[in-house]
Amino acid sequence: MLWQPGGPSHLDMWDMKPDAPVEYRGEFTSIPSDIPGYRVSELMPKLSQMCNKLAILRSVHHMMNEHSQATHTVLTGYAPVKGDPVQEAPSVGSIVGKELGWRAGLPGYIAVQQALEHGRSGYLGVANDPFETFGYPTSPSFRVRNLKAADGIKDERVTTRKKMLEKFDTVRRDADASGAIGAMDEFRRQAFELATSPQIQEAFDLNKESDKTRERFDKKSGSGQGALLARRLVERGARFVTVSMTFAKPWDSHQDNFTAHRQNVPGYDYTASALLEDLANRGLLESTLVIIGGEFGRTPRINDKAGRDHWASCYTTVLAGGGVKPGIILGSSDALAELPKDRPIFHQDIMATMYHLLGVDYTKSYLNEAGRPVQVLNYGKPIEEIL
Amino acid sequence: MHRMFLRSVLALLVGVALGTLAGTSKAAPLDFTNDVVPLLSKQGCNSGACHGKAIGQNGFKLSLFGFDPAFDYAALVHEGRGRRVSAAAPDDSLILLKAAGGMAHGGGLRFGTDSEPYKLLKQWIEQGAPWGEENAPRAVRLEVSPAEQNVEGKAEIPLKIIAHYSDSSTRDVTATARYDSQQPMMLEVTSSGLVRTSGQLGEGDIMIRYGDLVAVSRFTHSFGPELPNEAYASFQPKTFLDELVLAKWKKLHIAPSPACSDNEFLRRACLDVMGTLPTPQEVRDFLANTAPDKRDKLVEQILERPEYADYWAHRFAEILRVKTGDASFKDHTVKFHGWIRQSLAENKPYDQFVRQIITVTGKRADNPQMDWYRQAISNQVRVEDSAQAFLGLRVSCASCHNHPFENISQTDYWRFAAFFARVGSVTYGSVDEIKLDENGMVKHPRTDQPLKPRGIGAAYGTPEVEYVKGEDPRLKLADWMAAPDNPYFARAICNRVLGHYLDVGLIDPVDDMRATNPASNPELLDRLAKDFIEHKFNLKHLMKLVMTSRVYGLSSDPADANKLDTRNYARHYPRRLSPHVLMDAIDGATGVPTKFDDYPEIKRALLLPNEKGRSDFLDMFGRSSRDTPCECETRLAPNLSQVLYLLHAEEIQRKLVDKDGNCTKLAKSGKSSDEIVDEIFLRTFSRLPRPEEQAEAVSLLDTAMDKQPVIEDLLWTLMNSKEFLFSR
Repeated sequence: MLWQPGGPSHLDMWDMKPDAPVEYRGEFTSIPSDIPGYRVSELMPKLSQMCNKLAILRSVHHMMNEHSQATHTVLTGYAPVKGDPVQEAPSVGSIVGKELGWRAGLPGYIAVQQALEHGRSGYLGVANDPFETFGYPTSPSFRVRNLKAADGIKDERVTTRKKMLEKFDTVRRDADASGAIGAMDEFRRQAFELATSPQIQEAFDLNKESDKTRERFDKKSGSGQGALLARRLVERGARFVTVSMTFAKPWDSHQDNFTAHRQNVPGYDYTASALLEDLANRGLLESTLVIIGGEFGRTPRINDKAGRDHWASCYTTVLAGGGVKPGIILGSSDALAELPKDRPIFHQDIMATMYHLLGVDYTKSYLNEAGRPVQVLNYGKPIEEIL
Repeated sequence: MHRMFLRSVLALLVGVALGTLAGTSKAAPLDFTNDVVPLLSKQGCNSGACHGKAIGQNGFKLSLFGFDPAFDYAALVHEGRGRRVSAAAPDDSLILLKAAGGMAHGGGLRFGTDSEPYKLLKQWIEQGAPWGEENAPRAVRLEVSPAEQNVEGKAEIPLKIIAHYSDSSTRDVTATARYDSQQPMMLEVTSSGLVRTSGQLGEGDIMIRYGDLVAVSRFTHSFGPELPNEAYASFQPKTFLDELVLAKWKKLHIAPSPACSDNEFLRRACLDVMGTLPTPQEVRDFLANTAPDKRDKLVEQILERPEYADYWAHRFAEILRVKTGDASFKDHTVKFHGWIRQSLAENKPYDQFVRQIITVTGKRADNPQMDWYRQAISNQVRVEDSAQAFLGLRVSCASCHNHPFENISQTDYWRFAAFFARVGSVTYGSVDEIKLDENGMVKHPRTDQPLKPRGIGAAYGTPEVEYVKGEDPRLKLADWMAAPDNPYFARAICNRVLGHYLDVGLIDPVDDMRATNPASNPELLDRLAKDFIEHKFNLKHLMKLVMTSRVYGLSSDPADANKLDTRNYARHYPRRLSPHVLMDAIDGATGVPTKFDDYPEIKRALLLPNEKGRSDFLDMFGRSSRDTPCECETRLAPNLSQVLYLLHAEEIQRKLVDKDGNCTKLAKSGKSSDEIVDEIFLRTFSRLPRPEEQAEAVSLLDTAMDKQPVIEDLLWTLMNSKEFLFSR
């Protein structure tokens, strides 16, 4: 999941309105894409030629016009419940991680750098939080936080410590009916496996990529190198990986929307196209679902600070791979990109599509901590047209 | 053979019961609320997974478990273009066609056309789908027999359910009540109320629902054959707590582990009372003390230490949500936290403590506890926070619909809210002054009728309260809470305190008391509450009572006679140290305090007044964000990131090598290897090393050129060990 926190402007990227009045259409011109008749922003020269790999959903909408509530809705499928953590819904990644579990020694749900806002486990409990890498993937010395022993602790000392732990840590796991002692042992086993397995170290080691590949993902871009790390992890078995895609300016462009997008969209174009290209070249796109979007779009009418505000009533989300039919532009917006015109898509429909493609039963219920049964999704169904 | 016979007799009985019901109803018209709604509940039509959920199912919505019969009546009779019930052709009514398989139904076949529910519904439709008499008696209480039952092996036990009505009449509703097993591995229940036990050991409940009333029937299967008296010989009860726990063990055929060692007791007691490990000197002194009553004396001493108030202020600050949110409220929280700490230090009676929070009036400058109202900013939050924090009740579901698992109605919820109706002068974002709002009132959200205040628990005969001109009804709320016959208040705090010291409450979770979550030992909870009230809501008395019991002093090592026990205290249950306690323990063991860049004046995590104090460690180990009064917000479950942190974090390594830290000091101290090893064990496990541990560790030290790295490795090892990370 390539996440654009703050909300990108659909009108300046995927849903251009060149014929709209000047206070709507904005500064950018459109260019033709590889799908006849469909034009995208001039800022996306690379993606414009990859639309035949994408499903572009232009009529997505929900009810939340504030960042936190919208992000919560888009990442969990539920509106926030009055800030009540015992009823806090888990993020899609936590559910996928829980349902599909570890694979090839990698945790099911990994957040490159830090968990997205509302990207945590809610009532499923901290064991289902994402595994967060921390660190800066652009740094030559990038490494996952706490994955290996602290600096200055050499391998033989690690071995010594591990042996000492086996000798001195003798509390019986059957002493604890809650299972916390047993769980601690199990997590420690996993931790040592992560720390000592050369395969795992290799999975997180971006220096193993060729210079050409690193360059294709832009060596200087944290989002680009994050996307590359996500690709390495997915290639090795990770189930669900999130990357926050931010560039020079925040996506939340209440002022100078066009400056912000002029600075951001080229990086977005470069990063997203690199990921799609790379997955396709490796034959991984068929089996990898890529989700690109933010929590909402931006107001079609430009405000008096040349900015655009929050707009959840109609925006664009892009899917690719993982069984999604390529080359589809589904749904459209009205003349001003304010409301869906045909084939309105609830955000929960996208989530149902994701769960369906990942093989997770979204009608299943969990008990939340209030003892109330809550379905993975209580709304939405898979988008048949792109399956 | 025997089993089959029993089943057929029961089937016959049920048939007779229904026959009688249908027979009498021919003459008297059926009543929608009394006859039809229970049927909808029993068939699951109005459950949260089907038409009872907030958005209904395929356009047909019913109120959850039938809490709003008028709504359901309209949905069935008036909506759906009149097709749901068809008086002209009853068999063509959608409700019958869908439920009995005559039309496609997402919920599948609910009953056949020759079934009793079908006949009853059809009869009701034939009668013209009557609403019934406006003043018809309503069911107010369920009587379940057996309410409690001991079982051995596989058995079949029929339940009998009597509904009591508002006019004191009764009706056998066994056939029309709905049954759900809370422990399906142990208990199965048929739709006619026949319970089958699987032979699995332990305790389990059947939940019974009739209309919108709930009740439970509890089944207990002993954990093994009866134990000889010798199994209990070493356990000499000291207090009523011991007596009542022992009685439960005998019922379950389990026996206690032996008493824990002195150093285990000391570590446990210090962590539970003060959130702090004992110092090495305290361990040595306690072990050297030969007084027979030294454990009781210790409890008395540490309850008087300032760290008691520090630690329990931290715990209450989580329950009372001392939270800045916006950093500009830091001063509010520092003062509120200080008020809580001072209340605990002077051992303010608990009813006074709560009264002073709930009824606070005047200016915040004079009443720091007024900051409670800043988090509890709306009437709904006041209801939910005060119910959960002070009454042990989770009532939020009843704001929109009747509580599905407790006899708390939506009306009960809003009547409770009426206590807060006259809280006035609330400024936006902060609460700096509270005055009486003479005209404040609360209306029922569905009927729009003004409501008079009433404490929760109509079933206990809780009376309603009249508004008195010039008087704040919150005073009556505090009176009601502290009344000796209040069913919740004293029980809630006793359960919370017991749950803290014995790791699991009699009711678990500690703030979720309800008919369908009964106490594991109700007699003990009643007795504790009575004793607490008799001792004038004295918290330290309650804590002392628990901690000086034999039960509190049991070992956490399981014995054969109690290895299946998880709820009845036959051994002590270990608990991972909470985030702040663990941070302080690491800082204490390494001798290197953590610095909080937003709270530079704070030297111990437990002294942080609010949810702030920037720290990845505290977040990672599950610190509460204080968004609700729920103790569950502090997460004690381990995860991978925590384990990786303890093993590898630079922060830990820096504390180990710190030039002013304990490792460096020990390396330079000139102490012998034996003394060094003793010191490290005392600072982490709060005990001296066993001989084999001593030998192992000393040989590592003696063979090293440089002792410091070995000291670091040993401390690292012990801090990563479960004996350090858990209280046991």
